[in-house]
Amino acid sequence: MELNLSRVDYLHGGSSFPNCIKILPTFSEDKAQHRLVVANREGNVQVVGWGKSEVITICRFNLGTLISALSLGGAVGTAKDKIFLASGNMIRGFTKKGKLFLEFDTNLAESIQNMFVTGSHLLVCGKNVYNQYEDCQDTGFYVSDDEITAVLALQVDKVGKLVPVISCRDRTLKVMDKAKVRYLFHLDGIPTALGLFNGDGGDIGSDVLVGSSDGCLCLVSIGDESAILRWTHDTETSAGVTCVDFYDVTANGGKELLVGFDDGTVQVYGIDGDDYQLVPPRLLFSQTCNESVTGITGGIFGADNFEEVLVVTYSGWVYGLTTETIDKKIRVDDGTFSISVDTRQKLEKLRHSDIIIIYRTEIDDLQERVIQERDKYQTATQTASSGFSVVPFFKVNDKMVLNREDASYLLTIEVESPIDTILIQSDVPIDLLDVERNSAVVSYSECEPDSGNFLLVTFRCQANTTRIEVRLRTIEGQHGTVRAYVTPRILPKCCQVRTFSVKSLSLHVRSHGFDVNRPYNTLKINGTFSAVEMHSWLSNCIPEMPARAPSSGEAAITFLSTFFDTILHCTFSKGTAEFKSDNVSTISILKDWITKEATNKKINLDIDCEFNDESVLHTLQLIRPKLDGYLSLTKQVALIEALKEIQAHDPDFEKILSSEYKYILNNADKLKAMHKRQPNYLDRLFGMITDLYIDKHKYNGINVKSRVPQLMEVLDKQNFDALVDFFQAPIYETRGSYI
Amino acid sequence: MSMGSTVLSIKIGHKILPGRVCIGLYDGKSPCLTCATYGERVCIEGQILQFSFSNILLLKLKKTHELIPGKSVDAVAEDITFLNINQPITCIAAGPMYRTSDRYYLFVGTQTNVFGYDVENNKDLFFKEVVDGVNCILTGCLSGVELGSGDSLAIAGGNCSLQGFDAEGTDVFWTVTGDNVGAIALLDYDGDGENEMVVGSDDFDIRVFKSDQIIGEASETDTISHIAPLKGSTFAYALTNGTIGVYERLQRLWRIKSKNHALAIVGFDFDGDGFPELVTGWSNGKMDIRNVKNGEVLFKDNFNHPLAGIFTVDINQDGKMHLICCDVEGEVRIYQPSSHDGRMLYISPNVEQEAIRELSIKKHHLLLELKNYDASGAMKSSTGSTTTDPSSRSRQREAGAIPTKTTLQTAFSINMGSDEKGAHIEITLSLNNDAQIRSALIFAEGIFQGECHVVHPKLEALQSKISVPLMPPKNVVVDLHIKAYVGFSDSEHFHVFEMTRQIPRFSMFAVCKDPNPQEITSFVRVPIQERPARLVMWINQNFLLAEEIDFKTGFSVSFISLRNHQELSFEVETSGTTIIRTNDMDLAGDITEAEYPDEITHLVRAVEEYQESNDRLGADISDQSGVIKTLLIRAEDARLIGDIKGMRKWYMQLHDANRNLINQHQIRCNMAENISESIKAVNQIIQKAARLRVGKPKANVITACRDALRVKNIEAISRIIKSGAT
Repeated sequence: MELNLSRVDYLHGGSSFPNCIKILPTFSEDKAQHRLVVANREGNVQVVGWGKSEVITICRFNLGTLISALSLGGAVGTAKDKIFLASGNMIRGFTKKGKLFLEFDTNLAESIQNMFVTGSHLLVCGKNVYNQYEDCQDTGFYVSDDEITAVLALQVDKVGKLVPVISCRDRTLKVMDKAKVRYLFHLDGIPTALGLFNGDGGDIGSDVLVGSSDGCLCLVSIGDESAILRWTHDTETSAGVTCVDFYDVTANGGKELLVGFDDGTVQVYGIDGDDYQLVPPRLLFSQTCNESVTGITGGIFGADNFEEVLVVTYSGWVYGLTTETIDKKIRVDDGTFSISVDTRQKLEKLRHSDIIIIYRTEIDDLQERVIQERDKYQTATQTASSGFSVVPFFKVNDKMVLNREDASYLLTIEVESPIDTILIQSDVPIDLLDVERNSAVVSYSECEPDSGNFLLVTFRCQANTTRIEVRLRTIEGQHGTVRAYVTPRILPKCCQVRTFSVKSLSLHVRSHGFDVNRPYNTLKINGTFSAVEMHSWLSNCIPEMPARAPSSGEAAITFLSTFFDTILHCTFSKGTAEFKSDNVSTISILKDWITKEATNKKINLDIDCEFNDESVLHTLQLIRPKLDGYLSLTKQVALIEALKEIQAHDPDFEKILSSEYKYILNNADKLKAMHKRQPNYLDRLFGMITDLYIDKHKYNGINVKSRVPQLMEVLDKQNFDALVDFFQAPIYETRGSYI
Repeated sequence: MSMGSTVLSIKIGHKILPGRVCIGLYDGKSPCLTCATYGERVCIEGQILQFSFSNILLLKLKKTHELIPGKSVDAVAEDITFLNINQPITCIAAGPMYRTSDRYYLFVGTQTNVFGYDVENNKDLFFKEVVDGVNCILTGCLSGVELGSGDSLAIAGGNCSLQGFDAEGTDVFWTVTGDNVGAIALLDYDGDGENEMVVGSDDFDIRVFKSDQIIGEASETDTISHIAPLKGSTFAYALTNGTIGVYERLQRLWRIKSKNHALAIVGFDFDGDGFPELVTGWSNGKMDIRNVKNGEVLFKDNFNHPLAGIFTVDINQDGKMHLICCDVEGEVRIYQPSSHDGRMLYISPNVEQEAIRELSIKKHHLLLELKNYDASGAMKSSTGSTTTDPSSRSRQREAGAIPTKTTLQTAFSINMGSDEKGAHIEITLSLNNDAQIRSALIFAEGIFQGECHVVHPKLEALQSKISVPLMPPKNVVVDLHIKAYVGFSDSEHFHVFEMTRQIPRFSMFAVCKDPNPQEITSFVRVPIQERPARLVMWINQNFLLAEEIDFKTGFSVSFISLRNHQELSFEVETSGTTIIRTNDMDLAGDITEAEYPDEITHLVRAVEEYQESNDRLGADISDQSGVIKTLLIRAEDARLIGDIKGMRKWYMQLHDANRNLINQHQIRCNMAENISESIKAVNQIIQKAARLRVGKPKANVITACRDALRVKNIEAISRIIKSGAT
């Protein structure tokens, strides 16, 4: 790494919410220590500085309610040192000394999730509602169909007017004008974090950095009528971006991009000052801690003259990644000591050991109190004659997201306290793939055939594990529920269940490109259903459906299969719906699902299926690169060991090697990792090809289940042309139709 | 945490076979890293047949000041020597054999041989055939063994057997243990100044041998892969399921289980306090150093590949030990002691930082717990009066409220099974009110597929009582750690009830209603000095009985095994003499007379037959390889003179001969497997027979059986098993 940063722990601020730390601006001399404002979810806010070894609290106050957003602001032309806090639907403003100067009820129907303050403008968002205020006067609101993930506005003094930008889960940026959507900008991933580029929007103030849930960063220039995507950078972390900021960590005059991820990774990127719109950022530093990052900012905090990145994690730890090289203070090079180094080392140790002693006494006191309370609790639960005993509440941060790259779900569970055990239960067939980073002991339990369980797995965690990742592979056409029972190491012992639904078309994601040139199969449905009903049926079948039924009463939504790259296009309104897909299996699953839902509701449907024969060949062509790619990967991996062995015995061996073998040798680790990531990939692919084959003939009214073994034979031959021939061979023998 | 400048790193450039690494001072002074590496392989028709060659690589280790700290260097070719061993190496060890010399000798074990080698003089010490194969080997002194020559033994652990060779290869020591030997260590277990031998085997048992007597036994939960002496009677062990731990005599101090498994363990005084720490190398490339008393991690380092071996060695010959770790890809790291006080330079800048972080995390958790008690108190007072409002009731349920005084009870019972499921025992968990068990997790070692069994009933069928079938495969005491999630079907939060229950040792035996003890032909008669009352107590404690047996002066009781429906009966006479009838020799313990004749005859004959045909095949194969050589030369000749037709002919023949050879090889492989299976079975029978006796007679049985085996006197073996050695 080009940048060398060392971690320093500062304080524990209590359970965090997104972007809950900010550095307060100062006007004092350059390179002096800054102050930090930290808020926690429970309502505590503190402004702190750092002394030699401990936190100096400047002011501290408690709002008495939950806080959900923090923003800094100030009148145009002054320093942005006013602290704005959102709790419920209230906005409060405090000075940096902790004096309340504003209290304002937004009357928002939902509680505020996101807030942005610029000059006299205040933008707030609930889950779906957006509202803007100027000098606390309501200047308009907007209701989005899909969940809002972040909000910001371009700098008014740079662009001359208020241009709010909101990002939504439906993979769009909505550029607003007077609380109306001026235009939509489509993104590839789900946007999860927004930041004004360089802190001010770049050269003309219109550049916005967008971080997405699949770990991509992109730069978007917001124009009057449309936006331009400047670049997209894949961080290859496969974790979601939670926060971004800009700060000159390297002290070279240009700001760096700081990014925090939900897997605990912190990255620092260098930006090309002149051509930043053309040149993607360059990675300077990357480090991972074991808790997700919720907020990131830059400043000088721990010591004068040393720039650092300040990070807050999910459970509220605030730590710095400082340019001050702590290592050097006590580095001992091959046994030779310089006296100054030695003394500094001793001083350093002294400083630390004092803190350790203070902590130890504190902990002893606490432990005693805990034991008392524990006894009290025990007697209470056993003596009270009537009444109920409840378990302590603990917050679980969880998500299950589809990874586009390998069409698998990543299930993440994070708790503020260390986790004891996690039980994962599924009533639908899924594959569980362990994640290398986990240190937990995994144990698969036998599932009795009639117990309704397809998977029972326990994760017994090592001490201090607060976060666990699990990869799951689903099968399209199968739906059900995955439950995670989370037991933290807190007393009294308790457990919380989290449920995640696996939908029938589980491998589909929202997309915005509807390619009209593909051969589509069409499913037309007419009946006495409302748009809301159809929306709810589809919501239970396809992931990433908008959270609310279309307000206009009509919807046109496109999805992409992450596994096959086939498209599903849905249009529906009251009484009529049309689905187009180039994959006949998708149409088949959808038809079965809607028929079932309608039957449950006793609604009669008029179904019309139009099968496009070309589509099957088209789908096969889409599969071909995956099939060939995987087969050649398997072959390459099999050769690695043999090649390495020959290499070990003959150093000149490389010179006579063909380029393919050279490639294998040079990329051995990468190839192995790729192969390991996809166990039983071929089986999965074959399963889907089989479904395709069955569904193709189902539309012709022929049941071909008996021919599946023959198909398997053809597949095993690994000859694509033979596969196409097999698919196209006419079948004369009919064994009852079941369409 | 990286050690930065404190590490010296050498890249050998060759793969190392895990576990087959040692350090030898072959000239008596300079250490030499010795490891087994891959040899040639022959690739036939796309499938790789390991044609059984390994090499031994010797690397001279330079003194540390000749190396650049913190940098990785490649080993120089002139420092490396190869020894070709034309067999797959299963284990290697090096050690001094004579008190008068510091020179080390190298010992190599293969699937059929063990040999000693004098590296310095490049000559063999001995070469011995060991039919059992050798799984692990080590050198050292063992109390109570008379040596023919030299002062040390090379001890080879094989298929249920342990064999000690002196410097000339005379096997001066032989004994048997319960299963394949996985690990051996020598340490002074009883503090008498002489070494005892601690042996871990595949039947999950760790046994301590003093000479050929077992003086201690501990049961573990999986195959034992490593044992390392620490200090005095303290030793560390590792299991193949990822557990490592420390025993002080037979008292386990601690154990931890990891997702990965240990590939090397060694004791090393890391912090300079005079007591060793435990260094572990893991399969994921992690290396950690732990406190022996509590398992706390003191230091960690990461390798890019699984570890192959860890040792301590005085590399500079100045009396200071260095720690050497190597991974399977041939990276060797040397951790050097600090120059001033002998302690290592492990003070990573972040050690204190991390201590502070850990303490503040601890503080945070304690505060959280306190807060939890406050919150639960508040909730209770607000709902203290039983509300009848259904909506608030459901809200309570969602939050996991259950009636106070809810308790979880457990009970064991025997279920004779049905058509689908065989007979088993079951544990029933039940609550004392209408609260329901959402799910139950039972953690136990060795009785489930994984370490945990989960019961998760369908949501619509939740009850306040569930039964879990158990089928312990061995007669050992098993601890069940139970976690039950208690709530209601609409709850999102649950109370976790945790408890530990023990399954009695002979739980898989049910009382037999109409016993027929006369049908059991084998029995053991024991004169027990204890009062029969004690025996009744023992039975009550170790069997699952619906009602306890009452004490009578003489009684008999019969059990039936839930595993194989064989009967077991106790006949206790007033005098205290007890007859235990069972056909399962393993089941019978502490006893004097037995009748187990048939099995062994059969097995020994089988071994002989296999060996004969094996020898015959071996001869065939060497003939064939001669043919192949000729064919190859002819074919190549034909190619050179452009006789394509001839070449084709010769290559076709070669192809046939080749296929023949592979087939024969396959047969030989199978045969070898059969032989080793049979030998194992023979050794196990001897061991079981020895277990029927205590003390000196026990050791005598083993020696007598061995002698009888050597002269193939099968009748004698039967006689010895029946009435002991005289």
